[in-house]
This record gives sequence, structure tokens and C-alpha cells, in this order.
Amino acid sequence: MRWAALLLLLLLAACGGGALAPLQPQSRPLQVSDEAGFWQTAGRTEAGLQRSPLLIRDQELNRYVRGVACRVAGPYCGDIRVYLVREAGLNASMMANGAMLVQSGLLLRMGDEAQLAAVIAHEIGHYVERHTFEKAEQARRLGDLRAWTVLFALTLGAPGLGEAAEVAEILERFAFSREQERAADLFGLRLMAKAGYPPMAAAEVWQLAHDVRGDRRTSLTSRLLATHPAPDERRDRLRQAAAAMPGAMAERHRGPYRAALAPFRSQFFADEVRLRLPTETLNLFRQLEQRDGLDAVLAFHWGEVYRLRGWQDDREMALKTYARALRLPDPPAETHRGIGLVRLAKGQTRGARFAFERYLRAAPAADDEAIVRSYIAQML
Amino acid sequence: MGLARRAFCALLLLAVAGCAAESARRVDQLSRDDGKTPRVALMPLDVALSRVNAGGSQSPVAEWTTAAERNLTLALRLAAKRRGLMLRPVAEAVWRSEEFEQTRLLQNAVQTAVRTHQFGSSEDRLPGKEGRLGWTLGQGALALRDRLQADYALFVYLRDSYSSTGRRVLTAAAALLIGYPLSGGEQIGVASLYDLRNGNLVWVRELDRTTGDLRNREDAAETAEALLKDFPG
Repeated sequence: MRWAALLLLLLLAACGGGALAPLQPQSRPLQVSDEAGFWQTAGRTEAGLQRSPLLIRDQELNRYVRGVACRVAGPYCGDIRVYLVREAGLNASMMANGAMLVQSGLLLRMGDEAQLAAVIAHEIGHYVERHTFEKAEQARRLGDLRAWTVLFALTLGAPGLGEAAEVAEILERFAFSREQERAADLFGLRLMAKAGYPPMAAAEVWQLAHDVRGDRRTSLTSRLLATHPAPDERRDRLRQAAAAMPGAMAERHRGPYRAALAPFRSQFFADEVRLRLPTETLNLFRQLEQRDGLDAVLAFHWGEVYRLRGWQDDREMALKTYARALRLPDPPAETHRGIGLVRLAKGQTRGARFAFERYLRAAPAADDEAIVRSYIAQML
Repeated sequence: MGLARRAFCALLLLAVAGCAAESARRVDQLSRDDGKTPRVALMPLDVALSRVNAGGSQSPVAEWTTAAERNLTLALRLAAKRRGLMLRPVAEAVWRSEEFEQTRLLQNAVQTAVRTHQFGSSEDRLPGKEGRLGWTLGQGALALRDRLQADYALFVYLRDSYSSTGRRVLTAAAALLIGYPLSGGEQIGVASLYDLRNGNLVWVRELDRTTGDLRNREDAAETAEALLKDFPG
């Protein structure tokens, strides 16, 4: 039976089907084509996205990100629509029809425009190489083959062969998805070089993802059942490929990127803190401090992570971190609220009251003004 | 039992499940406070058609979906007319807007809940409701009533799939070789009617069958009739 399973695996791996020709700029699938169904489905999801309360509608930020997308997209500029969505975490995705989703957590993590361009270029790779449709077609072919194999296995009285086909189908689907990611990575590099961004920035994005994740050892099973290659593998491949490309000294546009992000950083940090994954968030904050230095906004949210986690000496750590925020230029008013809440939890009512009063003086129109007043009233 | 055999048994059960339709209503008659003929808005349909591949996966088919939207909208209006009722279709742009996004999501949630807890398997049915139709869109319906100038709103959700040639060949081969019936395409539909004065769901019907076709007008008329069977009034 083992040889039969092996043979089947080889057969499945071989049934990849021919690669699809890349989409040409401004092209649309014919209404009668199989691909049109995927565009229609994507179109509905996109329409829903346009109405979503999570959509970031700020004109300045949208104009900036679209500008970057257009620059990397080149002739595909008119085919790509970028949607910025308020969601923590490092992620972006592309739909079949060129609608691209960028999570705010990704904007927060990128260090400069070149890194943002790297992610966008990768996603454009998925679009131009028609990966949604290609993946569905591959899944269809594998499923059809599996069904026939199962039928014949049952006919021949060898159900083990059918089971092997099912396992092989699953493994092959994940392997195919990883291949698409690698292809999009390389496609992205070429777009970056063409647009005048340093291709090496793409490797840095995966360095960042790897650092935040930590050196987690992954099991063979989890690697076989992963939709994406591991961050360190992607980093190494990209580094190698980027090293052979021109443009290493190209402009990174750090200034404009930081300026565009500045008004939103505090909101986006708060979204990360709200995930309540303190270990990962602290890891992220350490990375960002190393790269960009510590400013009052980051320090305040850092204090929030400690306050909300509340382990052992976390209260002390929170107070210490809030104090650092206050020593830096332009600390957020909420820093005083954080101090007040920690002191309240510690039973230091006088100190808590003092901090709450400072908060309301610094932010008299705060959303939570009434509740903070009620805290103060209770302490009188 | 092996994975493969279990999969086949699951498919067998699906095939035997065949067709089912169920409905529930809270009122027998539509009404309007001033005694005039009640106005019923037909909301933009939520329809998608797909092809069942040999292996059982589904691929969306744009051409069919576009035709089905047209065919079913027309067929529903004709079927309602035969019941002495004028359905007024609501424009996409009005309903699928930021203004009604939350109401739309809530309606989807109600429809899903009804399918699971009103018409679902016996252990999923909510004993506290004792079979009564106790679901509502709440206050969100009032804004809809003002905007649509209607007393009731009819929502239709429909997913329809058709066997590909590959699936038909596999089905025939499976019947011949091992005597197992494979499932093919199926039609799942939910029609729900809300009273916009209070948001209450007053009538709902679910179709779950292996027949029906929305790709042409004649067959779409049959589906519309099947969906609106037991419609109040």
C-alpha cells in the first residue's frame, strides 16, 4: 500500500496544470469565463468593504498610500484599489479583482515607504499572476482527481489508497499556496526595482515578522499545513534575490512615511494593545523602539500593556513606563489617566485623584470625562 | 471506518436528505394601519449560482448569477401579482449603503439564526420559542420604513448549484461501480418578510432541495412559487 500512496503523491504533484498567463493592464475576464465568477464574488466583498465602519476614510492617508501603490503598480495603477482597514496585526491581502486590503497594524509596523511598497508590490503580484483563480483551479483539479481515486480505491477494495489520496490532496493544496507566495515575493521585488525602491526592504519586512514571532520552532506538520512559507525562509530568499538586483541605495522615503502615519499611530497602537496578547505586543514595542526610538506615544501604550496585563510587578512597570512618557515631548493626556487607574488599583487614592484631575485638565473634552469624574467623586 | 468510506457515507446521507421546505408565520394577513393595501418592498436579492465540480468543490459562475438575479426578481414579482400583491423592487444603491449597513448585517444574522434555530436540526431548535416565530430587526426597521415608504420588506437569499459534466460522470460511475448515490447540485433559499412598523419577522420560508433552476425564466417561476408558498394573505 505504501508504494501506491507514494505513486499517488507523485501523480498529484504532477497535475499542477499549466501556469496562467499574467493579466495585462486594464484587462477584465470575459463574463462567460470561469474566472469571471471569482471577480464577481470579489466585487461583492469589495462593495461591502466600502460600507464597512472599519474602513479608514481619511483622505490624506488614503491619498498617500494610493500614491505609493500607483508608483509600484506602474501600468497596473488603474487596476489596483487599496482599502485601509482598522485592524491590528501585520497583514494585507489581494482579491481576484484588484481590490487590496491593508490592515492598519501593517502600517504601524512598516518603518518607511520602501517597506510599505514591498508589501503592496507582493500583493500586486498575486493580482497580476491571477492567484485566486489559479488556486481555485488547482483545488478543483486536485479534488476531481481525489474523487476518482477514492472511487477506484473502493471499487478495488483498497480503501487505504483513497485515504492516501485525501491526505495527498490536502498537502498539495498547502504546498501550492506556499509556491504562490514565493512567486508573489519575487514578482514584488521586480516591481520595486522598476519603481525605484530598494528591493532589500522586502526582506526587512520578513525580518520584522520573524523577530516579533520569536524563534519559535515549528513542527514538520505545521510547516506542511502552512499557507505561507515561514518568515525566516522568506527573508532569506528575498535577501538573496534582492542582493542580485540594482537599487540597493535607492531612496527609502522614511520622512514622508512617518509624517503620513503620525496622526494615526496612537489609534493603531491602541488597537494592538486591545488584542490582549501582551507578550507579542511587548515584543513588537521593543522592536519598534529599537528601530525608531522611544517617543511619548509609544511609551504611553507600552505602559497600557503592563497595566492591562497586571502580572506580578506589572503595576510598577506601568507607572515607570508612564513616567518615561511624561518626560518625553508631547505626552498623550491619557498617560495621566493610566497613572490614575494604576494608583487606584493600588489603593493610593490621593495619588489617583491627582492624576485623574491632571488628565481632565489636559483633556477637558475626553470621551470618558464623566466616568473619570465619577472616580474622583468617589475618592472625595 | 476509513476517511474515504466515511466521506462516502456522508455524501450518501446528503443525497437521501433530498428536498425539504419549511415555513413559519406570525400573521395570516398583511395589514396597514390606515386600512389601505399594504406596500411590500422587494429588497435586492442575495443570490449566487455555482457549478459543482467532480470532486464536490464549487466554482462561482458569474453569467448564471447575473441571469438568476434578473430571472428571480421578475418571477417573484409575477408570483406576488398572482396573489394580488404588488412588490416594489428597491434599488441596490439604497439598500447596500453605509446608512443601512448595520441593518443589512442584522438581517443576515436573523436569517442565519432562523435557519439554524427555527428550521435546523431538532437539537438546534430553541425550546423556549416553542416553534413560535420570535425574531425582530428592532428599531432599525423604522428608518427603513421611512426611506422605502413601505409597510413590509421581503428579503430573499438563494444559493443554487448545478453538477458539472465531470460530476455527472463520476456520479454515474459511482452508482455503477459501488452503488453509492453522490449528491449533485442543490438549491437553498430563504425568503423572509418583516413588518417595518416594528421590525418583527412575520413570515419566513426555507427551501432546501435538489431541484429548481434559476438560469432561465420558466424554471425561475417555479422557484419563485415554491419560495412564496404559504405567503400570508
